Amino acid sequence: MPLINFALKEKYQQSITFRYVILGLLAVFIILLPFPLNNYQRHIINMAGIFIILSLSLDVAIGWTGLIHIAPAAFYGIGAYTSGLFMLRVMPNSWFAYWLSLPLVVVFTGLTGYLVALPALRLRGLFFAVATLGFGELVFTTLNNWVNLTGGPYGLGGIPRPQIASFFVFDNPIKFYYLIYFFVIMICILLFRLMKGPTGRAWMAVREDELAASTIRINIKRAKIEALITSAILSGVAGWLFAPYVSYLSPSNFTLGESILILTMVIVGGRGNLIGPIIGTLLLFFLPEILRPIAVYRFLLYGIILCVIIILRPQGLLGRLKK
Amino acid sequence: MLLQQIANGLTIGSVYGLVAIGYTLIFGVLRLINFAHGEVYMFGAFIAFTSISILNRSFIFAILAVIFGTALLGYLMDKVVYRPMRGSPRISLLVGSLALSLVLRNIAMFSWGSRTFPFPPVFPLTSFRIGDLRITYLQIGILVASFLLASIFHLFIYKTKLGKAVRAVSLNYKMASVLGINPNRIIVLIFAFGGALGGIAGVIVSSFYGSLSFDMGTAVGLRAFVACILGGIGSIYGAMLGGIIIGIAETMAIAYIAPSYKDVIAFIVLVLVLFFKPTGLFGKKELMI
Repeated sequence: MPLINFALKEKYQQSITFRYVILGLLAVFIILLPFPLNNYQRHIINMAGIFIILSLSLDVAIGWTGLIHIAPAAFYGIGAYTSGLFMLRVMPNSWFAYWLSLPLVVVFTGLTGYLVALPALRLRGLFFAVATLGFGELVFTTLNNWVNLTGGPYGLGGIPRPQIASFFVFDNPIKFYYLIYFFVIMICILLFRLMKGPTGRAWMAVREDELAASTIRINIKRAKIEALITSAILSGVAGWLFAPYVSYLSPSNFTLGESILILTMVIVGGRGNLIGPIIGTLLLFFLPEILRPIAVYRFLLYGIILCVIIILRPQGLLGRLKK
Repeated sequence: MLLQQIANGLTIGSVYGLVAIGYTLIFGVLRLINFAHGEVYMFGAFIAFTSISILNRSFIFAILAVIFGTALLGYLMDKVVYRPMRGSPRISLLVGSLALSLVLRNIAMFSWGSRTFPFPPVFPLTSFRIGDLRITYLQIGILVASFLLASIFHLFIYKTKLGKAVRAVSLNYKMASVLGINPNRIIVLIFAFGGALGGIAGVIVSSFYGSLSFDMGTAVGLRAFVACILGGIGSIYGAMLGGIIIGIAETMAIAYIAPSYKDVIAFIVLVLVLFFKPTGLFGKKELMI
């Protein structure tokens, strides 16, 4: 348990029982968390959960593979709108529409991710980043202007809550908490296995040194495409969770500003590992709330704190400095 | 009609170009994209506005205040944020510049307020016609001023000893310091000059449109950034050319294609250019033409 090893006595560091105890406590904490809180706090935690998925998805591209990409909000939006539109237009009034829309979201964001990945092969770092910026603007502008399909700036409303048959409806923040965090945990487990396995390691090799990676027969093109598609799909899943949670989608949820927010969460928290983006997300979510008493000057102080963190610790809170 | 749109595009494009020069200078020397540059542009407009409307000074005073103020702002940005981060990973610098732009925007918002202010009419709005084309003297003034400033810069970089030092630092930081150039001083100079250029651009635009607000920097900053990539990052002429291309493309798109997609046009043009020239029109890694 590298994270807290430094704080523990020798005999606890290796103990398996100890690990299970910690995991158990964590599990209990996570399971009981929503109860003592009020609805507003639950909402914040739910949104934090969605953004955890988004930060992790962005980190797959930036932290694992070294591909700087500034359009997670675009895939997030595509996932959300796909799900919403499917539920409202294609299969209205049916409870399994929501669950059916998940594979649809995966396929759709995957394809879009593939299209975005293609320029990555030709454009170096910075230029690819700018191209993704453009892609993000394109998606936003399309969502905002294709009124017949997406409702444009008026948004897409009335997205039904998820349901399992007719007896279980996800209609309050507590139930959504479990739904959202179920996926957060599943995705974390998935990413953990991916990271330790050959695919994830190949991506990290590409990040470190493309030439060297190609000499050990890692297919650079394939790695980059795979990483970007994975990143896109995960962002889309976050959108899929978001759509029925807020019930009303508006293009303003998927602007460049959102992408920059997600990017900041990843960089401030530390990229390239699983916990960094999670910490970054939680920090950036709870900081404005903690600063709420100062109301007006909130964002100024928020910006200053971000500046200070990044100046003092450019690799992010849980990141590693390369050299 | 067409010529009119081109003229309008040229005007706004040359302003994008001025701001883009600021981006490209800083990138050329530090490999850093200073997203807070758009806010320097905005501060320039506000300093002029404060001088003229609030302090009731002359236009000359305002311009001097802008040059001094934005140069100072550039210097402070370097000293407080970028110098401590020298050597950090590029993406952290990116996030740092984004955080800095957030801070600057908020400072402006608290200092002046969040509404849109009218910029005092300092220039006569008279125009003349050539056939169907109507050109205001202000537009001519803008074009002349932009090209003049860009040329002054070019002369500075290529014909003066200090300019040579700038080029040296942009080519190889360490070697330049071995040869007796103080890179930190050069960098301060770059930030100050780039800042002043951006500030003047801000004054130009707000006097052209007659209004200014604390969030005017973001849209222009983004366009100018795209322009500078388009022209080949590190190239001054490329930045100006990129700005003009984007200005014209945008005006034409608004007039003839689809006004609602105007934000995306800059990127579409960029992607098209990058497709054929992956590093931009005059793209090289150093600060050269």
